[in-house]
Amino acid sequence: MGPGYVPRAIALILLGFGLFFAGRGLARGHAGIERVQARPMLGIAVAVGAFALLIEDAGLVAASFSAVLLAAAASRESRLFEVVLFGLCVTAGAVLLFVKALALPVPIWPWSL
Amino acid sequence: MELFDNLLLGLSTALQFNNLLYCLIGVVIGTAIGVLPGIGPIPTVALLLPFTFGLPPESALIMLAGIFYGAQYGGSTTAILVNVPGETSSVVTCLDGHAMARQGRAGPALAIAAVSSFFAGTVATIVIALLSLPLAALALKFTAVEYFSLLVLGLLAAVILAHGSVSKSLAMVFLGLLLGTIGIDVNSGAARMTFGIPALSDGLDFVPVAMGMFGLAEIMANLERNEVRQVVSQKLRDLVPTRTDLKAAFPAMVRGTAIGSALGVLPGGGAALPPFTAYALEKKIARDPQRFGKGAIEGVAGPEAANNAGAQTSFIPLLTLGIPANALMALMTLMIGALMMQGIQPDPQVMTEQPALVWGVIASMWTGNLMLLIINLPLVGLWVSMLKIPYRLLFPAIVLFCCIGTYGISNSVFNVWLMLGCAVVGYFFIKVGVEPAPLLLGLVLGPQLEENFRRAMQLSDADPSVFLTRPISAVLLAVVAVLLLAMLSPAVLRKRHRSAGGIGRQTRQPPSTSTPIDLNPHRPQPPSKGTPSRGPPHQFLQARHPGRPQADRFLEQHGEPHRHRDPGRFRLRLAAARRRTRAERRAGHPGPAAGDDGERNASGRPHSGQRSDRHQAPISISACSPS
Repeated sequence: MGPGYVPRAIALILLGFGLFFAGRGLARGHAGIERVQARPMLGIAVAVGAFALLIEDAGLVAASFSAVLLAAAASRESRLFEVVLFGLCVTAGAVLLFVKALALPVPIWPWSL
Repeated sequence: MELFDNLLLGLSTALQFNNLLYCLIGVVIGTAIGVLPGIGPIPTVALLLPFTFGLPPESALIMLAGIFYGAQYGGSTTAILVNVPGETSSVVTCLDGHAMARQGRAGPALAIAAVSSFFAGTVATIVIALLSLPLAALALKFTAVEYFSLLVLGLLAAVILAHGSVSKSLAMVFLGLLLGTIGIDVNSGAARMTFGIPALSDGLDFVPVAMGMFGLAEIMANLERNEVRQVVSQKLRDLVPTRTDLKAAFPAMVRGTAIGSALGVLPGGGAALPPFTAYALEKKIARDPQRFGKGAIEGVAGPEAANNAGAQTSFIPLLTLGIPANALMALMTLMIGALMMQGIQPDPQVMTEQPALVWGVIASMWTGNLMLLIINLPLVGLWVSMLKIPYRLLFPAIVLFCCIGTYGISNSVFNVWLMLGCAVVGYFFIKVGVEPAPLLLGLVLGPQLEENFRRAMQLSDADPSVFLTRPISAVLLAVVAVLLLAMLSPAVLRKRHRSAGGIGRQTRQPPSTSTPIDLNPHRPQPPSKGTPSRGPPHQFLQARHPGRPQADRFLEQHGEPHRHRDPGRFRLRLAAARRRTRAERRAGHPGPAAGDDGERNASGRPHSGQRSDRHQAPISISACSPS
């Protein structure tokens, strides 16, 4: 048994499941899935993406603040002033907790790289 | 007595100052996430996992276990006061607990919930201690062959006993297994499915997958619904239940504990299945089932005891066999796996080689339950005030902590991207009604399954019959075969259908049979003017993963696939149904709203004699009811 034995076996089983579901889906009627709403998904996705892009090149403060701001944009209920204030608090909290208390090796500011 | 020696050893570990401290941290965090709807124990444990690596193993396990059973306590507080389950396992507590709160008896309801949980926690701790020794002795006979069979049985049973469509869950397990094979093969050193990406050569990290699918995807789905929380605001005096309350609740507590302990041990049982079973039983044997849904104290005590007992006994397979019973236990396995660096193997030997670890965790469950009783009852006001934090502020913070936590495991940006991908996939899973928990279980167990399989093949010179010739393995595989046949046989399928239709309703599916009756949209509304979107907890529940697929199955069985998932239409139909009943009442005909809950027949439909379109709203609503 080589290294590819198990993955191949599992992949074949999955192929079978896929065919089964496709066949069943064609045979049965389906009312369709609930409409996908773009705003929540995009907001969260962009926030996480921004964090990933910024964390190593611009430091924790910039990454955290922009992630909170962008994530808040995912909800219609967010208010700008509140979010900015909250973002600052959470960012400060994150720096204190993760960098100061838990010693996560990550730059805080862009110039402290 | 070996048992007492072990328990004493455990207590001496659990009572060390730093372990008490970690236990306290664990149960406080657990209560907090339990109280807050929208964040569950899985992403929390995933998030805290990296930070436990620096701790001694017993402290780490004690803390993470505390989060799990602490969440069961916290969930009931939200269920009683807000009519929204803080955790899936506290869904049934909403029914009678919130009804009691509306009658001004929130104090006794909270107290009974906490006392039941404590009682169940204490008994479950003893059950764990009693069962651990024989199981661990059995496990010592296990070789790779038996392990493979046991893993197969565990995965299959987890799929069958858990909620949702069995075929979809099974497919998810295999998808998880496939993802688990990514990375460099330990035997040959060949890179598998890494596409030349160095970050993949160690395999997919588990934490980003869990946080993406359970944390972020849930947030995306939650944000699509408007959530209005209304806390029952009354002075929480009279926390002490009356003597009659206690008298009524005690038998239910005992029965709930028994059910929870038994179901918790089963793979996939965990904390979600027992409360429903307990509620169904209480209602069945009650002299006056009409009271249920209107503040019957047994309906709080039984399920609460069951969910706590189940949460704790689900540690048994993990602690004795090293096999996780559900996705959360899988996380714990991983954590024990990480402890292997410190010389601890996640297998039966752990029991004999590390008695202080295992018995320390068991004993800590009891001290943890004691702490929970204290931090939940007198401090309940604190937790209630936490509910006033609006979700619009809560979720950006959760997103940020997921990001930092994922990045922090190994300072890898790749993990953050992986989490993002998993979040989008997980959101898609929620949309199509697929359960992500089996995937997680497969992902964690995949490498173990493969390794044991290959080792077994090496032991037997590539003769697959070895799985059937060794007795323990043969028995395990026979159980697998019976389960599979039972799932596939048309008779059982028919029976499942019928039982969901209400004929043989005590048989297989207490969740889908009991809750649609009870979580009824036409319960008298509270005096506080609820908006239509508030209503019963179902809308919110759709967003919480373990509940949804059961509702789907129920819907499919009633020929209404997925229609309730459009919140807009759902609300419109709900409003239309209410308008109709109001108009009828004005015209002098008591509509369905005027009838009481006990009048409903088992399928959750209101009584006949109404036009078919009127059926739709109640069906769709009750079908949204949780698993």
